[in-house]
Order: sequence, then structure tokens, then C-alpha cells
Amino acid sequence: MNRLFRVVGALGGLLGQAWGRFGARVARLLGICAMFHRLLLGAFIGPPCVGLFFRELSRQVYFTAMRRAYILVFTSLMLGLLVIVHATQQLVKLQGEEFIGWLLVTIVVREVGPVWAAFFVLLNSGGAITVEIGNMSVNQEIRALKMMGIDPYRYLGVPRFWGITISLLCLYILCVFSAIIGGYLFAQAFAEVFWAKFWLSFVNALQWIDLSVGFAKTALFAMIIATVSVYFGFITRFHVDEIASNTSEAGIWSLVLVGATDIILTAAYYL
Amino acid sequence: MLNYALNLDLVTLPIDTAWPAPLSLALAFNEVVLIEGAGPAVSSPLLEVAATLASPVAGNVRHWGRNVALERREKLYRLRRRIAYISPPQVLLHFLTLGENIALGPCYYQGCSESEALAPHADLLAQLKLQAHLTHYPTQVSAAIYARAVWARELVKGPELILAVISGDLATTAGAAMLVNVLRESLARYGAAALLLGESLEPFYPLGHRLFLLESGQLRKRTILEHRARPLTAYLPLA
Repeated sequence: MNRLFRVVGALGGLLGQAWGRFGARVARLLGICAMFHRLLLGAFIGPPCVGLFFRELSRQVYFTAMRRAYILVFTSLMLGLLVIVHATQQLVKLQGEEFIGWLLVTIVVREVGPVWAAFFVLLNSGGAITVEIGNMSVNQEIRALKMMGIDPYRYLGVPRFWGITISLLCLYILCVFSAIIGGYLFAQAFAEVFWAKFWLSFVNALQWIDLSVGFAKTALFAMIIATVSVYFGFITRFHVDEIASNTSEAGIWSLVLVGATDIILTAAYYL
Repeated sequence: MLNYALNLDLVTLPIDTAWPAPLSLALAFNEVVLIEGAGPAVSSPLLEVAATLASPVAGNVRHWGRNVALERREKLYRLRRRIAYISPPQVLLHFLTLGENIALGPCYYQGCSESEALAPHADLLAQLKLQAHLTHYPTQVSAAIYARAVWARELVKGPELILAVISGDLATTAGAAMLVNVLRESLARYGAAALLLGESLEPFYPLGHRLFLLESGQLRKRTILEHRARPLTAYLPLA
């Protein structure tokens, strides 16, 4: 009987722990949603600090979109090349070169392109934002802003939110063009598919709905990455140790939410 | 109660400190209260509560008759715009120059440029000897210049309540003399009340209306010696 009580007690403890963890995750998710709402509206509500806003915004765009864009160009060339390397040889055998464009549109423009650019921004800027804001929090700079009567979420969060969104949209365009050029270079070199035929195939396959889905995904991914990074930066309070754990947690949350959003949007496209 | 710029009503501070609990202290408009025997570590808990950055365990904190615990976030931010809070834990933003740090508040609220924000305060910057350092980043300047930049940042708000700990280089004779002049002008210009704390505040006696000594967990009232010798005519409209 005693053993039974112990087993039931242990099970109850485990269930309690699991429930507690679930509750903590839900609380985090709600916190992220609240932050999203605050950052989305923050640019339109409050004192008219347009100059300050653009200074921070341009700083963020430079950091995210310009400083290491060449890396994205290089990886996107590889992406285009990889897509074509698997497809071209089979398509040439089947006399189906005109499907190369359709393949590029589906994979690069609609599916992989937004995710590819989002991963780049997550690695390049997401962690950096969490560390920067976390450091400011630990060093009492956030408190100094509050004492100046400045809303730190608005001053620090909003320009980063819109900066990341603008940057990711630009990087997505860059990624798509680079992937197309990478794809063409391989198709031309190994399968003797010429530019005119390749370009025509791509343009014919490209529809507004593909572009719309690509841009919608990109904008949402950017907002998610920015919100999560800013949120985990601000919840850092007292210790430098928190910054490391919050940065890794922000990365994981961003990945999960970007993945979930991608699945939802893709499913919505096919429905 | 509306006659006070700051009213700490039976306040218990959040951490166990050297302050009497519960603490009651009120600052009338244009009044300067000095508390000696309170170094930076001792002063910070009181000033954080007074500056609305921390909540007291018990009691009420009122600014101009408004209970800050009941204020919404936006109103609290606007309230803090009227308070200058200078304490060693106060820092400058590391990614802005001293000039940008000082002008940040006016730029945020008025949407003006840095030069437009600093132009009306050229005298203040000159008095604090900061004009040569406005393009420097906080990490590039000495601790004394950094402390003066924090003072400048808080005073350009045009504060109606000044909460400050006098410490470091500004507690020395030369630093205090500079600060007394700056404070005198700010108090006169904005009609501000001030609560100044420090180990020794003798250079600030000419500004003070009331003087307390923090000793063994008690605030003891002291007479400001300078006031005894001050001629009565200074207080009467005889001219």
C-alpha cells in the first residue's frame, strides 16, 4: 500500500512539474504576443521622435542587411545551384527544361527563400539584439531610459522591429536573385540551358500569388525574430549569466515560431 | 498634501537599510532638504523609491499630490520627466556620445535635433565644463566628466524635483563649488525642490532650507549654521 502511495505521489509530482513547465511556456508565449502588439503599434503611438527613430532604424538596417549581405549572396548562389543540380539532369533527360523555372519559383521564391533569409537574419542579428538589450538591462541603461521618461520598448524595441522587417524583405529579394543567378550558372554550365530559355521559364512560372506568399512569409518571419529577440533581451534583469541562456532560448523560440508560421502559411496556400 | 513636491508617507524601503522604518519625509515646493551621513550605498534605496524606480514595501509615495503607485505607465514616464535623479547607479547609454545622451530626452519628447536640444542649455554645459567632450563616448571620458554628464542630462529636463547623491569628485571642494552654482541656477530657473544626500554636504548649506543627519537609523534635525548669520533683510521685501 505504501509503495502504491509513493508511486502515485511520484506520478503526481511529475505531472505537477510538467504542468508547471507547460504553464511557464504559455506565459512566455503570451509575453511574446504582448511584446509583438507593443512593437507593432509603438511606432504610431507616443511622442514624435521621428529623427531618433530613423537614426536607430538605419543603424539596425545597416547592421542586419548591409554589413554581411555578401554572405547571404554567396549562400543563396549555392542554394540556387543545389536546386538545379538535382533537377536539371533529370529534367533534361525528360525534355522538361521549361520546368526549371517552376522549380525555382516553388522552392526559392515561395518555400526556401524566406526561410533561408530568415535563418540568416536570426543568426546575424537575432542573437545580437538579445545580447545588446540584455547587456543594457544588466548595466542599468534600461533603468536610465525609464528615469529619463523614455519608454525603452519604444526607443530600443520599435526601431529594431521595423529595421529587421525592412532588412529581411530586402535580403529576401537579394536571396531570390542570387539563387536564380546561381541556378542559371549551373544550368548553363552543366546542362546547356541558355539564359533566354531559363529566364523565360522562370518568368512564365512566376505568379503574383507566389510573390505575395514569399513576401508575407518574409515579413512575418522578420517580425517574429525581432519580437522574440527584443523580448528575451528585456526579460534579462540582474546577471550577465542570464544573457547567454536568454540568447539561446530566443534562438530556439524564434526557430519554433518561424517553423510553425511557415507550416500554417504553406498549408493556407494549398488549401 | 498638494503643497508638497515629494511626500514619503510612512514608507518602508524594499531592502533592509540604515533608514528609519517607517520613514516620513516631505519636501515643499522650492524647498531644499539636505541629508548628511548618507553615502551612495545608503542613499540609493531611498532615492530609487522617491524617483518611482522602486516600490516601497509599505507606505505611500506622492509627487505633487499624486500617488505614483496608481499611475499608468505613460503617466509615470511623463512624471519622471519632471524629476532629476542623480545617483551613482545612474548610467549613460554606451552607444551614444555625451551630447546625444544629454539631448536624448528633449529629442525624444520634442522631436528636435541634438543641436536644437542643447542650444538653450549652453550655459549649463559650459558651467559643467562639458562642451569639449560632447562628441566623446561614455567609455572615452574620465569618471568626473561622466558624472557631470549625468548631471547635465538630468538638468536639461528642466526638473521640478531634484533627487541627488553628492559623491565622488563632485563632493570635493572644487566639484561642489561648481555644482552649487549649477544647482542654484536650476532651482531658480525651474522653481524646483531638491533632496540632496551625501556623507558631508557643507558646501551646499547655503542652498539648504532643512538639514538632517542620518545617524544610527534615525534622522536628526540639525541647524544650518549659515542660516543663523544670514541677515533677516534677505527674507523681507524691503527693497
